[in-house]
Amino acid sequence: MKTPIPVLLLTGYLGAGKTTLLNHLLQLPGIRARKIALIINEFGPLGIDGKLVAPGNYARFELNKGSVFCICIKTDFIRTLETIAREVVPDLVIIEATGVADPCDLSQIIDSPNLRDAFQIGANVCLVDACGFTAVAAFLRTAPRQVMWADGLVINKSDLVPSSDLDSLGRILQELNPVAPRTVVSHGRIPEEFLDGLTHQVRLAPVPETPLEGLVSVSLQTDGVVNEADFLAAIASLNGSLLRLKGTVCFKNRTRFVEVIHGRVSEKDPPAGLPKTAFTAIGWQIDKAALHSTFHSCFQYDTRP
Amino acid sequence: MKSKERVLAALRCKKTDRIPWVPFVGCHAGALIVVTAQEYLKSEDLMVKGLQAAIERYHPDGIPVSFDLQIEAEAMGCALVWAEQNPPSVSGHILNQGKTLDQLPPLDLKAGRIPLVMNTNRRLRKANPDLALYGLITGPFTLALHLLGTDIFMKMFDDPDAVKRLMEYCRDCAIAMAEAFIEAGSDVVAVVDPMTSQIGPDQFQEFVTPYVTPVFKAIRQRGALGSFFVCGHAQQNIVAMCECTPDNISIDENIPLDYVRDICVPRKISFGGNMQLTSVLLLGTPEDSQRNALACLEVAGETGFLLAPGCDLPYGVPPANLEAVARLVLDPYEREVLKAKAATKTSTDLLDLSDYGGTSDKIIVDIITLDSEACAPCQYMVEAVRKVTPEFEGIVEWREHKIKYRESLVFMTSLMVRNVPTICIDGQIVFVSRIPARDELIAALQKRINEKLRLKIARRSASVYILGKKGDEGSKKIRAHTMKAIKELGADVEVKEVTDENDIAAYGLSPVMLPAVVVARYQVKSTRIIPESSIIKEWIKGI
Repeated sequence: MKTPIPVLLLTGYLGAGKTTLLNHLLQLPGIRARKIALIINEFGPLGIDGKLVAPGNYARFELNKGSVFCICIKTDFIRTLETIAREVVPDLVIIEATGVADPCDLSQIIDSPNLRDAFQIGANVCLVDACGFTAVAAFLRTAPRQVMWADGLVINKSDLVPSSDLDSLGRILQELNPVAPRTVVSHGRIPEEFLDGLTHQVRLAPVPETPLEGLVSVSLQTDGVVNEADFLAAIASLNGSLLRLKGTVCFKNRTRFVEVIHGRVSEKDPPAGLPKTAFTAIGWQIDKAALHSTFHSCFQYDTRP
Repeated sequence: MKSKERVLAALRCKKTDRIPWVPFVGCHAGALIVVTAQEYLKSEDLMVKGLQAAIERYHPDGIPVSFDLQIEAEAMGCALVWAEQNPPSVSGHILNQGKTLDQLPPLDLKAGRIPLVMNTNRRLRKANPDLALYGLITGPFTLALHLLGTDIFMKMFDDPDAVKRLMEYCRDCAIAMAEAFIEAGSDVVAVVDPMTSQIGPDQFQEFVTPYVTPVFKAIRQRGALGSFFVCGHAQQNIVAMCECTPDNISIDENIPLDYVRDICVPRKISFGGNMQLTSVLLLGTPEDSQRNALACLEVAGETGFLLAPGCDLPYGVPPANLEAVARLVLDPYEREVLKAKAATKTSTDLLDLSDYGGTSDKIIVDIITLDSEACAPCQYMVEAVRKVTPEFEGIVEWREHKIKYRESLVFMTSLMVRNVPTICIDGQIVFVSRIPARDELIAALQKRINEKLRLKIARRSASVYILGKKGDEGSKKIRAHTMKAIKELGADVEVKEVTDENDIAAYGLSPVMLPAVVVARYQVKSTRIIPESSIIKEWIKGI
């Protein structure tokens, strides 16, 4: 029986830099030396990712037809892999998965009866956007799921955030996936050794249906005013439990657009037409009700001057 | 009952003469008349022809007029890319290409392919007055994603008000489409919102519920019924979906049917689904398809359910598979034959449930799978058990039951297992659709071992009944001898004297036969489960 063709699966939220990483990968000597088949499977600006990937000596397949339905992705995916096994017979298949693809579905497809002899997952690498992950992961369920299923985590865009944010992000990723090795890069430039050191983990432990019990978001609004001292004290008291906060806050004498990223507070003039207090906070390992009440206790219901 | 009447009754959770069958034929109808998906979806005549072909071959009670969630986005100006064997996909998200929401006019019902689909609806209505027609509209959240792209997830945090304004716009589009379908003769409007599977219930309640609920209200106000379709891993949102007040919830194979049933039934919302699209309908055989349909029917119950594939049927589904499902639905005899075929085989060959009662020294782990070689979660579950069992040094034995074999399917039914993969320990369902971590599995096995030990100890207890008249000397002597025997043996035996005539008669003894001794040994056969009658039979045989 022939040895199955290894598959390198790249996952990560749209905008995490998967295409940049892919271009970098294709330049690595260890990859260049091999016969590659590339599957680009992006939800969104169709074909753009495909065009962004540098031309080279590899077979390229775009898989973005009818991608709203998982079933269309599945049938297209199966058909494409069958074609690759029959006609291309590469040394390595690299799949750039859509940011909304559930990694468990992708693994199942590759393990399906008509494909499992031809392919096996070599490694599942998830790209994490150092700037946006904690905001997106609270809303898009597949973002943390992709982290949980990964064999290696690449924290990208590290040049755009302070090192304290990277530490904080590292702690969250450690909780989500304690076994996957991590590397911190910018512009997707991962060292070849990192890839070489990865082995695919067959997941014995379940990945829960609602993956991030610890990651919660709350939205607060009030027609009253917010006590500024209490508000700042609330942020300070939450410490590592508050990952992000963003929105308009009406204090007694001024209205500000406040943003908190990993404890760092910044503020600017509010956008026009949003005079009301309305903000969203994302917490980590904190009870949702507790997060809500921490901020709600800063609200005052007297009318503003 | 006529088909339409049957569908509408089932949607309203009313009794029907049989479960209605609604194959979600979209571009697959193109395959039936040998044209590409693109040709099919762009031609009113081909759509009518393809759907009529599907109606003739699959004998549905209801059918969607179209299954293409790009129609509204296309009409609003989003560019599409077409495929030969799939619906098209949106390639340009207009709100990401310079346009703002304020610049978008209300949905123009004369734009794009909307008139084509509505005309198809009218022609189908005329030709099939007794068939339930489903008008499928793009759910507001999925439409918002088409317009804005995946930026919407970041915007939920960055600018939630902007997302809500967009959702208001998409709600209005959905209502306009729903009204157009009803006007064209649709009986049911399906709000298809697959992208909601990407968010959790909190976000659903904030960003979806306020915008979908009015759509269902509008549908009802115009005399039609509303179904909420979702596909993908959306289990977390089923309750929130019900709160949007649809008449029906329709799901795919990613969500266990019994999970949805248990949420929908108490809320008096009907439900539908969830035949397996890829592994069974696309890649399986007609018999696989029938078995899958039968499994759905058995889980769902008899009212408030509509049998359907989980989502848009793939273009290349073998028609024989759907024809087989239609036969199964229409012909009770075919269902009985299928059930009987399985039952006969199983009762003779496989079921030895007596071991589960606690008499065996071994613990038996049954893993019910689709097929561990074909299904990754099944494989992981089998591996989890295989790795742990050696640690129990022969006390724990395991076996896999692949439901693709009919005896396994019946085994699954007799253990009341409803989902695969499932782990049963000594016949008791322990892990459903989730692979236990090593420690968790060990703990479950240890718990069963302890339980069995307790049963063994309990089994030793027994009673000696001394039956005689009150104060009878003979009885007194028997009691003295019994106590001596118990003492010498050190046994755990209770001694009871029975003197009431009626009680004695209940033992089948007449007064002339007294004094008498009856010995009874108690065996605790099961605890905290409701054993099946087949299991109890085995116990009774052993008495």
